Amino acid sequence: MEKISEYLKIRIEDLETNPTPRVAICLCLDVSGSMLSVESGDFVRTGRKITINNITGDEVTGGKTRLDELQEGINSFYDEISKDEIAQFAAEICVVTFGDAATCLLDFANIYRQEVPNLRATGRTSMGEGVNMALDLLERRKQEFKNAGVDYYQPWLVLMTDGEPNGDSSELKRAMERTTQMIADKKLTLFPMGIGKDANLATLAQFTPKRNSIRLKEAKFKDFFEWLSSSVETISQSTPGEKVMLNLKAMSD
Amino acid sequence: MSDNETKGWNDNLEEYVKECKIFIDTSSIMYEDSGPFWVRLVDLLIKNKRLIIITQGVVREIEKHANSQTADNRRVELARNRIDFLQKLLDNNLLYVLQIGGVSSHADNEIQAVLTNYRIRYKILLITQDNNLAKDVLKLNENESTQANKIVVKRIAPDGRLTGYGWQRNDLGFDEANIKPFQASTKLIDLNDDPIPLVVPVDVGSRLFTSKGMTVELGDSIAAGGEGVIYETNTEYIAKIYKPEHLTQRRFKKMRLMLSRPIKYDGICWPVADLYNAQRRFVGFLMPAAKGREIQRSIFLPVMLKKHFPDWNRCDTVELCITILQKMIYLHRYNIIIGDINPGNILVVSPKEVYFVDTDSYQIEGFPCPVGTTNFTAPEIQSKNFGTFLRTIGNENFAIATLLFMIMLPGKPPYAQQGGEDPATNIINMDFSYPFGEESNRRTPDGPWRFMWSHLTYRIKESFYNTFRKDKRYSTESTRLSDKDWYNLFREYYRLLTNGRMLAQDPMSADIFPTRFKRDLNSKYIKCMFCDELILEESGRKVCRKCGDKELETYTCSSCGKEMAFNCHEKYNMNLVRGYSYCRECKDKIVHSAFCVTCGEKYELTGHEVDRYLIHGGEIPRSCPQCLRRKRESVQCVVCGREFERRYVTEFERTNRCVCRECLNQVGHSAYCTECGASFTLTNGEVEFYRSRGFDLPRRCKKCRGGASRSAPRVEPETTFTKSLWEKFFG
Repeated sequence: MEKISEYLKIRIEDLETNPTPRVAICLCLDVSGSMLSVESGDFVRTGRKITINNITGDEVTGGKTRLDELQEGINSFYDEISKDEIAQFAAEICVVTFGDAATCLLDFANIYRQEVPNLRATGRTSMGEGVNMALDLLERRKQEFKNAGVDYYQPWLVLMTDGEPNGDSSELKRAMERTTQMIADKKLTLFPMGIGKDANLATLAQFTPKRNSIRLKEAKFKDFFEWLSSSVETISQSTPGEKVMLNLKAMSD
Repeated sequence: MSDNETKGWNDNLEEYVKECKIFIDTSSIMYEDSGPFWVRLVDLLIKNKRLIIITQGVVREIEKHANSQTADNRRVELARNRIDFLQKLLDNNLLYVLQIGGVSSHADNEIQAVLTNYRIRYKILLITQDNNLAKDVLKLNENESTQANKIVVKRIAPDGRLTGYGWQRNDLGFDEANIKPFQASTKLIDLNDDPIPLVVPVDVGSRLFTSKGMTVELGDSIAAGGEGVIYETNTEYIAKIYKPEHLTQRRFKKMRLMLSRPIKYDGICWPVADLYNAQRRFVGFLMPAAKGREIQRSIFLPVMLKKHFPDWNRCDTVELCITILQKMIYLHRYNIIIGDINPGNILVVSPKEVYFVDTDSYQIEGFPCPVGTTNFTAPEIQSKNFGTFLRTIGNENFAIATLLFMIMLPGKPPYAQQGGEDPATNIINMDFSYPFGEESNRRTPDGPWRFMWSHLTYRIKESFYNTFRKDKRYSTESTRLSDKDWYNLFREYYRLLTNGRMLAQDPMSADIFPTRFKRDLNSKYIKCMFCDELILEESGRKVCRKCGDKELETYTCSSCGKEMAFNCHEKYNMNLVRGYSYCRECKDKIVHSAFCVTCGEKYELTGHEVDRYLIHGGEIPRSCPQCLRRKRESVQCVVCGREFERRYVTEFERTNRCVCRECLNQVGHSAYCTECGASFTLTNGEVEFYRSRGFDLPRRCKKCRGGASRSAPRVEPETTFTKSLWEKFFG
């Protein structure tokens, strides 16, 4: 059972005793039913058809689902970051998933205190709710840095989806406005990643002022997260505010 | 801090007399202007019952002078005079002449032999005017294998004081070599920076040539950076080979200029030779290999600092600063500006063994240092493009101060602060947040940083404060403290740490990560209830921070059942009677709702509000927060005029007048009954009651007024509140 004073102590200790400028990263991940579709590994078609979220496909056994791949990607992300002395003290990660609802699966902390959470797929794609929650969490953490007198980089938001948002449309609109404004003000770095052929890149693009988004090659999660962790390493050796080039081109289709 | 402490030990002859064996060499005895010094010394020797030592060789040399047949009569005269003087000292037990076997040995050799022996057991001061002897003796100090005391060597100044040697004053360990300093240029070089096309690429196994014709073979690559790749070679040196896009005319010329000065100093990885490929095209250079861990991957990460240097204390970090400063002083002497001072370019093996790498980026004459990082960039050159201007020594001094600060407060940039902006803006604002004396912007970062700051010496704090704080003494490009200033400050710091004075005041000053403020000699301290840790008495705390975390009882959240600890800090420092009843998640939930006994309105309390009463041993109030607030308002008693909280007075609502409890039943009115003529009295409470009802005061006494129905009720304290409730519901 969690001891509240212990929890608070750790949270404060993390903030106060570590002098490294922080980069808060929120992984905002689609866990809708379609993430269970199988695209790699050894799989066998059963011959039946199956329909999830109005998309009909072949039913298979075995193989790896997108969610499995994503899970592996996140695991390797943590592994890579903890290998770098500076990045492990700079990176603070939180995980928000959106399916039927937005859930904060993992709140901010130094990564060596965190356990990688297990992702579970559920129903719909409440993307707007998810992004709003992610932005709220990032904002709160930023304020905590500020209050404690800790230097920080502008936060990163990794948004991954393999479909179309079908949550509350006003929430979605609000989320898009927020990210667009924050990016324009240089208060946020957003990585809008579409997964697989069904991802709606046009929708994702609306989260950015320049209207760009990236389609991740299938089963490229690991590559992406390796790239992301090396970007964390690069940025953690700079000083907040300095320009650091992050080249994401290599990741796209 | 006492005056003694700041003055330092070195200037103080008396300290030497008390603590050292003092040897004096012929040259100092024969020094003509030594009169004022001898007067001082003899006084101190008598006072402290000490003596000085000379060797037999010295006596022989002076006798030789006295008996010499040269034309220099003055010198002969002086020697005779000195012999008389020494004889007097001897007679008064202020001098000891050391007898040494082997008559023929030269006096200088004799002294060295004696000192080598003596320094194992004693602290030694050698007084000599002889440069060469001084150098030789100081070399003895470098012999690390012997566990011996360092010999102090001084000369006599004409004013009677002891002074160090010019070249030795800072113990920098280097002589003025015959290296011509680079020119102090102010004009940026104008040279093509386009890449020179490279025909044959260079890789592992390539055979390269130096400009002096030596062949060098590249071994395995060790590291790769933005500009080039580092290789092992078949020599004792390593090679940096530039990437083709970085091979430019400008770089080549700069390398040639760098190599024109054989800069050689321990730990500075200065290029030793330029390298050319088979086509005789410039490709890179040879340099000494570095060892150790980057400061940014060791010192600047507290977890890594504890891991890689577990035995370090503040003496080590201060010594590290001194080592780094020595190298900087050396470089600056030749007009070399490092430019990109940064924790990734300095590698640490031990406090004494440090390596400076990336020397090819240093600023030399008109060649700028094209790189830099925000934290180490002075406010006057923030956001400028580093390749387009030449840095000044003033710019450099800002970076030096920042580096020293971040070593002493491991990893914390000087301008990180509560409510701060991004680092560049913070630097430009120069709103330094660490306190000095009474001055502070009260935005010092949370956590242990203020403790680390507090344990620095007064002068170091003063220097950082005046450097980093806007409009202070050392805060501008031209007024910043130099490497030598910092060197002397840190030497003094080191002395204070190692001679025990600082630690006598507070042993925690030796910790890199202290857990409380430095003990103040003017304040009183009490012992923690559970350990020996001292706590500032005026803080009102009874247990120290560490013991404060000790768990006493466990409470469960009344809302969700989560377990919460009740610790020593809460019990003894905050004087809480019991632990919290609601956890962090539930504290904002509404957990109590009731009708206010005063106004009758329904009111709700959150877990946090309920806890506020319970933890101090109180009960949940039965009035709503508004009524409670009203009750606490201060009102004046209309009788005595004193101020009271409303809850302690009787309030007459209709007239809005209050009477305190003391006045309430005192006589406020007396008269003679118009009916029976007897005198009667009314209390203040009764008077106010009649007034509040708009009645005139009764003119008959109570008896004559008759029935109870017409008499004024006895007014009890607090009744107005219950009455108003009554009125609310039934009135």
